[in-house]
Amino acid sequence: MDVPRYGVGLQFNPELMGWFPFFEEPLDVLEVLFDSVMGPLDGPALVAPRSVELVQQISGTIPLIGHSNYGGDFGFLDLADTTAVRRHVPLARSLDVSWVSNHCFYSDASWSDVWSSPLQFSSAEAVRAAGRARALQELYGVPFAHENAAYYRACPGSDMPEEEFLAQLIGLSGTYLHLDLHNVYANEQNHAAQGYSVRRFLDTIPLDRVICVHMAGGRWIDGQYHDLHDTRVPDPVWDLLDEVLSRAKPSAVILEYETQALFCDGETLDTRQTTEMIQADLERGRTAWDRAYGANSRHTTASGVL
Amino acid sequence: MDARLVWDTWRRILTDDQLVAQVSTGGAEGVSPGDLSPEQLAIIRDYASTPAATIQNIGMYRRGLVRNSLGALSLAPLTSRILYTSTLDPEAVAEDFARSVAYRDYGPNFWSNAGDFVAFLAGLPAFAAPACQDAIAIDAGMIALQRRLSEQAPPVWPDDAGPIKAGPDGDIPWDATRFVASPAAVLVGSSRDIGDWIENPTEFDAGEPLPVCPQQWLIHVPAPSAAREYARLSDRCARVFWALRRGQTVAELATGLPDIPLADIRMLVSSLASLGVIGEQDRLAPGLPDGPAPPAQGGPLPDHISVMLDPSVELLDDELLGYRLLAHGHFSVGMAIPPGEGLLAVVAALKERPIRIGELRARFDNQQIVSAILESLHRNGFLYAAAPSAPSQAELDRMRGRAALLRGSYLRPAFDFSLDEPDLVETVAALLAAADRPPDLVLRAASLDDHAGVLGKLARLRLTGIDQFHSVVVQCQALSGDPELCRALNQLGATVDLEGVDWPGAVTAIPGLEVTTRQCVAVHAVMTPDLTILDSDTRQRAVDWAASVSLTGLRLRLDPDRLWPNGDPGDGAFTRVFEAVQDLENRLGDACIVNLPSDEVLLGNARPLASPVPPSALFERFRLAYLRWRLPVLKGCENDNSWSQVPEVEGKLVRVEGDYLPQHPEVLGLKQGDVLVDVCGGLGRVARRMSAAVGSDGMVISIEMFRCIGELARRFASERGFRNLHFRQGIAQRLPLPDAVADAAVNEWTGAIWELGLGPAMIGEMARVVRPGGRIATTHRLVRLDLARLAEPWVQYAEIYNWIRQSFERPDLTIVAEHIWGQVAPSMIGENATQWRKQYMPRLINPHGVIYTRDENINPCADLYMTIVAQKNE
Repeated sequence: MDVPRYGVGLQFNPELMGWFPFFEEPLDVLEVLFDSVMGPLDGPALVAPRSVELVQQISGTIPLIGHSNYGGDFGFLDLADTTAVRRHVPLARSLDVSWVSNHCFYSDASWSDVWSSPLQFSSAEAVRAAGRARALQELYGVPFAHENAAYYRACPGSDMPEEEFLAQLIGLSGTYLHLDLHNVYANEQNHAAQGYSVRRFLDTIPLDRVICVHMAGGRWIDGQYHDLHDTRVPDPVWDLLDEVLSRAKPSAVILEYETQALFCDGETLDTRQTTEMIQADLERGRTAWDRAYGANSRHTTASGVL
Repeated sequence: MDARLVWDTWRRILTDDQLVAQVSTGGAEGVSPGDLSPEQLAIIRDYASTPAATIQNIGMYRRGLVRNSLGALSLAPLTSRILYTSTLDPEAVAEDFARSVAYRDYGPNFWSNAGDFVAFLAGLPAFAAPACQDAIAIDAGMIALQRRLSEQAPPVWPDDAGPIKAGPDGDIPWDATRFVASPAAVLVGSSRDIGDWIENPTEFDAGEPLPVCPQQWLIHVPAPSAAREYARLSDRCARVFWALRRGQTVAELATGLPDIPLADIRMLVSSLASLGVIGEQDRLAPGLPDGPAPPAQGGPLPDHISVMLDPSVELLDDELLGYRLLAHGHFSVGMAIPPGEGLLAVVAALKERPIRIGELRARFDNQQIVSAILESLHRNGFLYAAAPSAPSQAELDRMRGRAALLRGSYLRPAFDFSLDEPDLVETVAALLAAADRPPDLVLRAASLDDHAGVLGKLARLRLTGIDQFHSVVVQCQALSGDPELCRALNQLGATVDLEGVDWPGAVTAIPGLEVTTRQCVAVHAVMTPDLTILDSDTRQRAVDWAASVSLTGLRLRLDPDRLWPNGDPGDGAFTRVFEAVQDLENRLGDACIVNLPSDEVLLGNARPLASPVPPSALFERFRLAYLRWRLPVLKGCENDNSWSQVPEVEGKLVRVEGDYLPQHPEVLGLKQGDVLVDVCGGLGRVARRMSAAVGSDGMVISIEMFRCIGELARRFASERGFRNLHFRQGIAQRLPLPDAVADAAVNEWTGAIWELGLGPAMIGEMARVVRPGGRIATTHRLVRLDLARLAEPWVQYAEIYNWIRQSFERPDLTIVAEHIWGQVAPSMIGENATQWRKQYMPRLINPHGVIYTRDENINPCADLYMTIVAQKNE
């Protein structure tokens, strides 16, 4: 499958709507969260009425990619009954996204249990998940990538490291990877004692299948590191990006934030400071990208087709 | 570890407070086996081995539920505003709600989440104010609409429907076009004018007192991804919209709404069509079934939640034809458990304690039946989604409140007004327009004098309105002899309950009674018997008095605290009183206890009475004893013969075109305005078919001995817009009418009457109530002829001809016609058995959801009937 190369973009997160100047930024790509624009699964609307105008605003003006949190992709419902098939697939077509990414979590028609339910890292689950992934990629008709998870604990019954599971999954499914570097970083903060290693992770996953990178921040609370998306991207994560860009050729780097008031050095920033900080991170991302791919290599700076 | 089992077990932990406590302690040994398999225990111990991470995950889950419920509530702007401007802490309320639904994760089913949350909030005392309830009802109506549209999208959305171009110059001929309401629109009523709040929910001030001002709101969804829209409808416009639940031409609308000029109806139709909320039936709702909308469903219950029977549900000892019965003490409703292996076991498992549905399923092989049982119990309010531990009284009250809401969506509405209430007619009209099925109406007045005007207006409302009452009962302490008032009562379809009549009969004549009954108004005497009701002779005095004054029946008010001032006499004494009432009914034809749940309540068709004062402990025992006694009696009215067809299939049994008397009303001498008595009226087929023969100024009085059958007949008729049919309880051998008040009387296909030897008495009664010169007729099948074996006719009652003939040979009757007619006998093959069985009580599962695959009559057969008509001598 062809994967166009875009550059550096931002997640179109509902928490940023109404105050962040999305359309004043030279964004190369925008990542749409299907779950936040779709209509309720038990209602008639594909796009929620409150999102219709928003979707019209972004359609055709900037390259879009789709991100799915709660599709039930890897759960145990019949695929045809999942939110992924009933809402995300038609949304992906309607928005004409270049690719779609999802999460390596279990869910069915549920939301709140998702983040505590990383996939079981076992061969049997790699085979089962690969079958669903392959079928979904066919339905989407565009590349389909899976995001590595941040988790507080692994799923009982896991008997292999996450990176080996992902390598096996991708090898069986013919799908792609969506590499969240902050998730990798967070897992190392929380699970290094149990043997988690960023180094081994990056050396094991098939880097050539990485089509997108997520960058975000988080914080320590009560002895645990949390993937809260409410700080700047930490320096070690930027270092990881440089490394990945030197070893792989992802098509986009997407920054994620989920608050109007970022935390910084123990303080809560106001909206203006938050905006400036996100803009600074975006600029840092663009610099890293250009360093790896060369000048004029992004959607907003390229003169022709890349 | 199997990943699926891990996932299911984790979801169970998330929703189970006991397991949460156990995995949070970090001590794997703290996990008690309970009903858990060794594999599940191993998984739970695995989670317990990382308490910090597991607590983090559980907290994240439960905070997520609260956040998502509050997020979903934003879809219901009025209710959301009510919550956020109240003194309650929204997050704490959302936590209570999450607990009340056993920590269910609705996920992307936002409408379901919003709907359940709104229903939960509706039951909170803080939001009991009428304006709050109005606003919540509007949100609930909108949410139900959205969910309905999710299940079935309309063929044409309002935005695509376009205005109609009708009339002489338009594309659509008015007269030939059948219009219908769009399924993408719903009408919701409010008791107050909350228009400003609908327009701007942020202005909602729940504390602002608003006067009673009934309004009708049209909510519609113009397109799949469009926001819903609201429109205030005038009373006339609402009535037109409501009438278009079924396809109608403008001419038909005008017939049903004679108080609205035809030109105005066209204007209102055009106006509604411009919104796209009505349109041509062929385009808008080609498959729209006739009749009222199906009742709301409770929805499937997921495996991870725990469920329990209401603690007041009791399994009765009685067994009827293999059926066992459940009595719901709280809702006063029964449910039948059909014979079938394992059904009782499922009920027993639900009775013990809250049980996870997944666990229940694991115990039984037939998952389809388990699902059907759970759905059925849930829908009827017997089963709740519960916390895994036994609920507190407050939680039980909440669960019952939610169940009451679900039941309220399909129980018949009931309204109770004083006839002296200002703006009564307008209020009733508004409530009628908002009700989704014909309601019961109780009107109270000290005396009927001075109320002819308002009853006349209500009668006109019924005659001209688009909707119907299921029943109208006028409660009063004094009658009026005003003929106009009696006429209004009949037009209204009302029966009169005359309060304060002495037991066992009035000592002196009751003013106005004879005039009222002679005009065929149904009058019941309300009496408060003492324990002399146990005496057979006293009961006979009551029957004789009631018959002597042509009462329709007796309404008994039984107060156990007065009957047994020394305390509880035990169930045996209660039962003797109930049996005495039953004996009265058997003799008189119509006698029941008014301060105990009616049969319609027990059968799950109507709401229970709201008691103005808390009942005494003795009364509660009395009521529960009544449930235990009455439910088996009601179940005993059912059987498995195939003569109780619903209207949808009745044409198969006796075809309209072949039905003799409706096709030939002239043999009865019937004309418009006449009174026709239909004896043994059953489900009302004959009454409905004869309705046109007496016209809107006439009456068909259908007399049926089984109350539950008569109520069904009344429902079928009211839902189909009949306005001149009167359904009364009574027995053929004592018709509840004075002498010579009817123009004709008929009895069709009542074999048992003849078989029991009651035929002559029935003919005598029919002759009594008909005026001289009036006619009576009876029809019965003589033989069934197997067309391949004509020499061997099948005869049900060999003596039927002689029985009937001899009964008619009376000095006061002259036989004027004996018609022999026939039709090809229908085959039942391919028919759904449910439509042909006498089953009235809600059942745990439907054992008749089958298609007939064989017929006793292999060959084509013909039925031969005889209709015999006699005239009462002058």
